[in-house]
Amino acid sequence: MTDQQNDAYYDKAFSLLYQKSRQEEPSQALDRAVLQQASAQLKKQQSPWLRHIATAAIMILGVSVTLQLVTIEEATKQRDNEAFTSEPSILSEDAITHVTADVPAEPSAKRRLIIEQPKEVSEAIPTLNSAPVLEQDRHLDRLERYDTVAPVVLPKLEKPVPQQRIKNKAQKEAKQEQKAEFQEANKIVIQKKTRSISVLPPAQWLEKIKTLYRQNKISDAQKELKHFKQVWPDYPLDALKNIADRVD
Amino acid sequence: MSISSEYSDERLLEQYCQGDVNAFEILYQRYRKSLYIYLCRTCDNQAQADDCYQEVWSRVIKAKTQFKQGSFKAWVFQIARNIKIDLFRKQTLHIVSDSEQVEEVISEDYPQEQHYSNRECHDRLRLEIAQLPAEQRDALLLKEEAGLTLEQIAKVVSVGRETIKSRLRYALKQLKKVLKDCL
Repeated sequence: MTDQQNDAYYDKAFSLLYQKSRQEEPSQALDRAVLQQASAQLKKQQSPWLRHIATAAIMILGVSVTLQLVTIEEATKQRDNEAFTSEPSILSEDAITHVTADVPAEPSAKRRLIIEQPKEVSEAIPTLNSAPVLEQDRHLDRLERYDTVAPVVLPKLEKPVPQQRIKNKAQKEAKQEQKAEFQEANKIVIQKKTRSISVLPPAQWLEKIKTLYRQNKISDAQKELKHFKQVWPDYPLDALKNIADRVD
Repeated sequence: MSISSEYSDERLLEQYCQGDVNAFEILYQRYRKSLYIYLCRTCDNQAQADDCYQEVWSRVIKAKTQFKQGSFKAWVFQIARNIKIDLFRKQTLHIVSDSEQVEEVISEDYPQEQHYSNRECHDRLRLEIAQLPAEQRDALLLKEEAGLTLEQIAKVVSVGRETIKSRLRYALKQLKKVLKDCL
C-alpha cells in the first residue's frame, strides 16, 4: 500500500469515525426556546405595521372631521353672506301682521314663525327698484330681522360650557331678545307713521332731499331726511350736509 | 403557502423574513445538530454549549435581515465562532484549568496502543479533538461538522486558504496518529 493509498484509507476511516461520534443533540427545551423566539420575533415584526395602520387611520379620521367642520363653517358663512347680499325681498302683509302681533306676547314665537316661513316669503318678493314703496320699506325691515334671526337658524358647534355660564348666557340672550323685539316694535310703529313717505334707493332719495332744500322746502326736506336716517342709518350724508349748512 | 424542504437555506431565510415561521423551522432542523456539535466540541462543557447555541439562534433571528448574500451555512457558523470567541475571552482562566483536567484524564484513562470499542473510540475522538490547538480544531470542525469548503472556512476564520489547508493537514495527522487503534 503506497503512502497516498494509506492516507486515503485513514481519511475515509477518520470521516467514518467522526460521523459515528456525532451523537450530541440539543435538548427539546432548547429547540422549543429557539422556535418560540423565532415566532415571537415575527409577531414583534408584524405589530409595528398594525401600529402604523392604526395611526394612519386615526390621522385620516382626524383630517376628514376637520375638513368637514371647515366645510360646514364655510357653508355657514356663505349662507350668511347670501342672506345679506341677495336680491331684496319683503314679507307679505299677512306675515308681518302675524309676526308683529306675536312680538310682545311671546318673543320666541316670532322667531319660530320667521324660521318656519322664509322660503314662502322670499318667493313672493320682487326686486327693490321695481317694488312699491311700502313693500320696499317692509323689505328693509325684513333684512334687519334676518340679521337677528340668522345665527339661530344655522347650526353652530359650541364648546361645552359650565352650568353657571349657560344660565348667564340664557339670561343675556333673553335680554337681547327683549331689546331686539322692542326695537322691532318701535320700527313697525315708525313704519306705520311714515307709510305716507316714499322710500327710494339712497342716492335717489338724497337727490330728492337736496332738491327740496334747493327749493327751500326745509320742513319737507328735514322730514324726508329724518325718515332717510331711520331707513339708512349708516349711509354717509356728507354731500347733503353742505347743502343743509348753506340753507341754514 | 407551502414550504418545500428542498428550498435553499437562503430562500428559507427570505421566507422567514417575510413572516413564514415554517421556513425557519425547516432551516432550524437542518442546522440544529451540526451547530450544536460544533459548539459542544469547541466549548468547555455542555452548559456553555447550550448557552452559546441559544445565543447563536437568537442572533440569527434578530439579524436575519442583515443577511444579504453568500452562504447561510457559513454565516451561521461564523456567528457561532464569534460567540464562542467572546465566551473564551471572558473565561480564559477557567478554560486553562479545564484543559489541564482533560490532560490528566487522557493520561490516566486512555493509555496508548490499546484496542477500544466503538463507544470508547467516539469518546476518545472527542477528547483528542478538544486537545488540538484551537485554530486546527476550528478548521477541522468547520470542515467536518459544517461541511464548509476551504474557501468558506478561510473567509469565516479570516485567514488564507492555504493556511486553512495546512491547519487541517496538521489536525488530521495528529488525530490519525493518536486514534490509530480506532481507525
